[in-house]
Amino acid sequence: MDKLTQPAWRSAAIGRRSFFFTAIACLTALASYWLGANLPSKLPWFWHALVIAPFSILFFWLTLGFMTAVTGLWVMMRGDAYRIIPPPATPLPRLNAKQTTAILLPIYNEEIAYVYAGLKSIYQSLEQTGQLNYFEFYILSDSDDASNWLREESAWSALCRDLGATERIHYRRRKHRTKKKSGNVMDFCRRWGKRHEYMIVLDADSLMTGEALVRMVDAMERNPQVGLIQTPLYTIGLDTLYARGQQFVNRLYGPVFFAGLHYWWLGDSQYWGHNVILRTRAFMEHCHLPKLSDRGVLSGEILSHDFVEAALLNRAGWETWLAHDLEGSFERPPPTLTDALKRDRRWCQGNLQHWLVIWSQGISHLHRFLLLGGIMSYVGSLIWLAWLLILTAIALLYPELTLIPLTQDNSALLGLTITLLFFYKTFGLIQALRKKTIRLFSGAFALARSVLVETLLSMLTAPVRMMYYSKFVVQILRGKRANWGTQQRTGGGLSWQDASREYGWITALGAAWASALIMTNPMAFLWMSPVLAGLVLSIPLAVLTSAQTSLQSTLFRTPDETAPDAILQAFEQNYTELQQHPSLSTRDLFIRVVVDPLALRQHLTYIPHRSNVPESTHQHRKQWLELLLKRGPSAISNQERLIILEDAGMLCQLHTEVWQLPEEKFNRMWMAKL
Amino acid sequence: MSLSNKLAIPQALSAKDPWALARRRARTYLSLQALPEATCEQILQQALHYLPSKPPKAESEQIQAFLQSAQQATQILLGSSTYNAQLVNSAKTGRFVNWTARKTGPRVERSSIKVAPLQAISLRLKPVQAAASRH
Repeated sequence: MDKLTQPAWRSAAIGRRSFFFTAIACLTALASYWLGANLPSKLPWFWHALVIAPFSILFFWLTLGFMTAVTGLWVMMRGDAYRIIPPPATPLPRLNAKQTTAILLPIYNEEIAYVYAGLKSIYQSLEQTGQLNYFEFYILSDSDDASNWLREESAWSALCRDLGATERIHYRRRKHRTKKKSGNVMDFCRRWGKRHEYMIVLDADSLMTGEALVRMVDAMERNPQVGLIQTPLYTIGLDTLYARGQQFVNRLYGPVFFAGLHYWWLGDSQYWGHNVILRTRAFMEHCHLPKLSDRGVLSGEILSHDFVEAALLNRAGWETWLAHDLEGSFERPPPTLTDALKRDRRWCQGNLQHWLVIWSQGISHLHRFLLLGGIMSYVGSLIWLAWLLILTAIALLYPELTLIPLTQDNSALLGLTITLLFFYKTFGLIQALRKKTIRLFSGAFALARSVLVETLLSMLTAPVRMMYYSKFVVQILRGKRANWGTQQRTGGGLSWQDASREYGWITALGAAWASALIMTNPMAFLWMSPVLAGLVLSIPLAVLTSAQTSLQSTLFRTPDETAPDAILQAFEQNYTELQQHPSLSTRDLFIRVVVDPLALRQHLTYIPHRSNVPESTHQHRKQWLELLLKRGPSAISNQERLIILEDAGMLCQLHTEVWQLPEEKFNRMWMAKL
Repeated sequence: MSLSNKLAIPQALSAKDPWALARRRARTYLSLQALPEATCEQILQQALHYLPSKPPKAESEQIQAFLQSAQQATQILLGSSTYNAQLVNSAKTGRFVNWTARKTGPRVERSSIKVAPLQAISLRLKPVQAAASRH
């Protein structure tokens, strides 16, 4: 965009970012100076450097989080003239769009009842706004499990019948799964991108109110220079202690942080992969991601595509915004610490790849910084671990030295660090007080208790994360790839045995580390005890936080539990109903399609009828058919089943021949399992 | 009683009626198509007229013959173009005739999408700049 025609927010952004980063730099410099000036003079200079350098990096990112909270509080108290969506209290706009907005639901072997219950709730919520006719839904399946595919298909058909929405809810399954979710969305764009000016991308566990969807489309209509609007994500719906802690943190402190991010991002917002509206044309023109061709361990398909897509939209001159105070955008947290770490293993790999993207031509400096931030969220742990190991080495090699003497400067540094680590929590409380939502957190006493317990839990889990993140970074840099599978969205109840297997190495390491320090330098042990406690207690911590809690419990109770939004209530009802729906039977649906003529007929209408199957392929498939007739439905693999299910001629032949099987075989192998 | 138990044919019965098993199979097939009980019975009765006088020896051939007869009967009773007639027909021929694929999405309007370039920044001077800097 021409600099002369730059929007007003650009100059505000320059001012805000100058203040923001100057404050961070000053605080970091001050803290680093205090630390450096008070290190024992007897310590050789290279130890000084090894202590101060990682500390400065860590302190910089810690201050960045704190400053985000401070500016967030400022935005929430004073309001902000630069906002993309009008405040929540403004009346719901009436849409007047020429084209419908596509709501995309990319899925991959998900629990169908859960996903479709969400979709149904969003549909009903839009219906209540009276503006459903401006939207169309696309279920974009990448499922490669034969039974899941058939279940999705039949449940989709039932859902359309139930809602009378055959023309409004579409189903598409990709046969060739390239580039995972980003490839799935791009496949939609290639087929139907021209039909929709905007697309709203959801995740399998997303829930969005009709009101939020309408406001997003309206904002896009009013701002033709905007390519993307990200909504703030609120986590809901799980009952394990870990998940409820996350939900509580997200609800209490989330608004402040979202507002803070908005403060310094403005029209250069990041994209978090879902619950977002995109201008389809802009996305199609600029966001088709290439393969990273560098030959290193980070090469290949871009896994964490969202950050890169936002950077590419910005590079092309499109504004990207965070609608920081938009309500009605939800997702689910991982149920347990172990599930969160599994997800982080995938994200870590994706984020580390961004190192190759940072150096691409034309990316804005802010987006380079945001990509670096994503990398640092994992590499930062490795730096933290390295720093602690350096301190330990000094403590062991120079036991006579007091590494951090309680001088005035060090006391000030300790005070500053504690402020940066914990003070933002009071901002959440201030907001709860201002907005009179304390009773929705079950009252002042329950809220205070939840804050304290959550602080303790997060202090103890932080070192565990540090160990795992460090391990992930090392593994990835050594070339070990992550398995990018389906995310675990429900569950809990980790057994002691499983926890010991998973976290035993951390406990052992923590115990050894603590013993070495106790024996040689008890003072250093005391300084490191919060970290060491987290490591030693990792097994009970994992078991405890995976336990299910009563939703009536006042610990970690959030407004979403006390006074749930209508869509959350509708979701619970829809989910219960759909779990009992016959189309979602857990039986082997491959057998049903082969045997039941009605199911076969329905399935055949969804697959293309190809007559040009080469003879050699046909013969090959015939062998599978013979195997099925001889040994029953489990004779062929999932992949072979998928191929048979896509071959209409072969399926019909199988159907016929199964019905002509001798009595005993027919009953035992097929009918008994129907 | 489960569907598979219902299908079990007593030995004595199958000895008396050579078509018992095939008839039962055809009945099950019809029952899976949500046809009224009376219609099923009617089709099966009618099918008896089209059976060969001497039953084939092989079990599968008997079933095939009965399903084929049931199909003929269905065509006569329900008309050849009806949905149920086609279903019965499918068991015989292995093909679902005259069924058009159902749309699961709107008409595709293909777009070609170019890949976004991600060339790395080069810290080396471009040839023109390099030449300029030499002078």
